[in-house]
Amino acid sequence: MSAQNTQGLEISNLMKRLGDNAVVKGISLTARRGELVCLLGPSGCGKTTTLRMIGGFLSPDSGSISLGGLDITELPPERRPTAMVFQNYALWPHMTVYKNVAFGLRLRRLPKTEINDRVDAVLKMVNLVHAKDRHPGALSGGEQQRVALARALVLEPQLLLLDEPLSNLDAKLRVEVREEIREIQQRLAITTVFVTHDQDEALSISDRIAVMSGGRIEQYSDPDSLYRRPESRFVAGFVGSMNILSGRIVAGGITLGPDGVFIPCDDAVLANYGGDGGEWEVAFRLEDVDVQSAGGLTSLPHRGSVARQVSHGHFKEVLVEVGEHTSIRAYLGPDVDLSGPVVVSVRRLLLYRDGALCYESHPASGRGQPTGGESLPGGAGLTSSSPSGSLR
Amino acid sequence: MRVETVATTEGPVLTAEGPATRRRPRGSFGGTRLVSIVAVVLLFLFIFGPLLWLLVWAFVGVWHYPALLPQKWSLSWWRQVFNYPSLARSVELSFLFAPTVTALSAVICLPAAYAFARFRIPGRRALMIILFSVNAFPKIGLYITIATLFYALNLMGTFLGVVLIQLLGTIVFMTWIPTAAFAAVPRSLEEAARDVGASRLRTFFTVTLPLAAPGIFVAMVLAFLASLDEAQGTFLVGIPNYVTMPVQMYSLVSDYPPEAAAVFAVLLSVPSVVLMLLVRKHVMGGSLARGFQV
Ligand SMILES: Nc1ncnc2c1ncn2[C@@H]1O[C@H](COP(=O)(O)OP(=O)(O)OP(=O)(O)O)[C@@H](O)[C@H]1O
Ligand SMILES: [Mg+2]
Repeated sequence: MSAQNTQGLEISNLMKRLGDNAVVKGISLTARRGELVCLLGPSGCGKTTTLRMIGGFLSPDSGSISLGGLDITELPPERRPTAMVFQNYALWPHMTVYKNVAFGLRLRRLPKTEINDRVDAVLKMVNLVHAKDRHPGALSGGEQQRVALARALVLEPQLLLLDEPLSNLDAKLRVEVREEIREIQQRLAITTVFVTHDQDEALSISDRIAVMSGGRIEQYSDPDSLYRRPESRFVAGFVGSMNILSGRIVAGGITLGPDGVFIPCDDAVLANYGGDGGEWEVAFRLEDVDVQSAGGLTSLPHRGSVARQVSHGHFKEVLVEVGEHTSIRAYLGPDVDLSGPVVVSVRRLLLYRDGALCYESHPASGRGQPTGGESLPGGAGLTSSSPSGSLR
Repeated sequence: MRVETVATTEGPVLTAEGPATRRRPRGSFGGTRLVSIVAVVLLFLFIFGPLLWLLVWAFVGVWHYPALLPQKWSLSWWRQVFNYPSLARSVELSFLFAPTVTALSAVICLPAAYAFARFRIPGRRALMIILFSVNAFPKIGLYITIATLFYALNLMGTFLGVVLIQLLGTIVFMTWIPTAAFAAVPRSLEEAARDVGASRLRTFFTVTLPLAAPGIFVAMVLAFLASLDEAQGTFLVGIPNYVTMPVQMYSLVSDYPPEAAAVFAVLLSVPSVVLMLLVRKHVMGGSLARGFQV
């Protein structure tokens, strides 16, 4: 029994057609007990469909879902140890907050006093004791969201499912509530699947993120490696801001775009690996770009000028035109002088061919290495999506 | 105050374009309003005028032509009507048929309405239109066809025959309005109930039915009233064994002066008024309106 309990969610090769669409095309994913996993992807990629299959509202065409070692693929929703927070909350408008939360417990035929205690405890946890006797129509969006969460949590589910639970909240509340959810989820150690199309949300609360596209999982890894080491061209473009240009590898750096602008990159191994003369999709983060005033070095080929800049307060985002048809975006510290010509170099880059990651450079050691081995150490380790690289 | 200031600052600009353009919309707006007020008053008179007329007639003692109101009021016609031998029986019958027809109609139509709202039924559209067409054509033709059938089945002059013929008139809205009411219950509310552990049946009774209740209630009130007021079919099928209030009305009109008929008509409209007040009290405007969105 206890051995089973250490197992969390295990999904293997789930497929689903809806109408004429193959919506989910073979999804496999595991979540350890207590882990929070995000399904992240653009609209229409099959996140909701996957989540609904886990919750039991859709039955998969093939594949299996097991929870705590038990196969639940064939169980109806009411017999699954899962609880879902719906995107529109789906609170019952004719019941008070108390009744909404208590309904699941009453179905389990618990004694009245225990129901009372558990509802009170969970309402306290989500800060809603004052709204106990109100109807959902008399609550704000944030309060409704918390009732929905309380209704799910009170059942102490083995698996919590959330379908874009924050999308109806304003930006500030969204950040607050997602932190609350994360805090409660960690405290109760509930295995959780969280659907979102907001990458900030995913990066900030997940233990692991599954990036989905077209009904498949593109990459499944922790937020840091997802950000630093996107395994496919799609993920590189989807998660965070990234310069992605076609280019070739030459001694001491890369030539980019139709202009073949030379950009130096301090990676000794790069030329050995990629110098086959062929074209790559070269990707580098905005915080991995160095922009300096050109000063007297007027003869350098990669001289450029800042075409646009947007201040974000503690940093700025600039667009540098390095060639007639080639520009590079970069995050810079607020004090960099950008009035004259500038020179651009790249600290760390990734190479893609046919949509797959082939090479990543590690600036710390000045060496990079081809990808493909599982033994590869993680990326250089930015802990969040904030562009602190430019401040170094 | 502020509105006025804005108007004056805009004044010169508008005069430059011509004051006529400015005045016309306001004039026509006032006109529209006047027209709509008159229309509402006329409509009101058209609907309630005859009822008021009836009400006055029911209490007439003496009333000679030029006078606007009766010279003498009296309850004598009420006494006459209440002493009319078969009146009590007809009231009793009416209030036997109306609940029976309503209940039976609900039993037949509500499951159909739920199915229409929730499942993909082949030919759903065609079925709904056939239902509608039952009410769209002159009923008397339909009734006569049915009467021949009832003769064959020995249903003429039977309780069941009357119930069936009255049922016919209630089926349309007893299906359409609850279908709309069920369809208006978001599926996610039902899924949420399943999710916390409720069976399909439990979900239906705890979530779906209470939320669709206002629409269902409206439909049942309408069915009750339709049964109560149904005269044509009941007359054809029920006579002579089952004479309900509206059927009784026919013989009253021919046997007695208009005053007695007025009394009877007032009596006949009491249940309608009571039920309509009930609907107003128990059904919020929104749900009532929702009940009619098919
Ligand atoms: N009943 C259906 N019949 C046919 N296609 C459907 C049906 N339901 C959904 N789809 C399609 O399946 C795809 C995936 O839908 P799904 O709701 O899982 O997307 P999602 O990733 O949750 O997107 P979003 O972020 O917009 O919620 C969409 O392209 C949608 O058009
Ligand atoms: Mg979705």
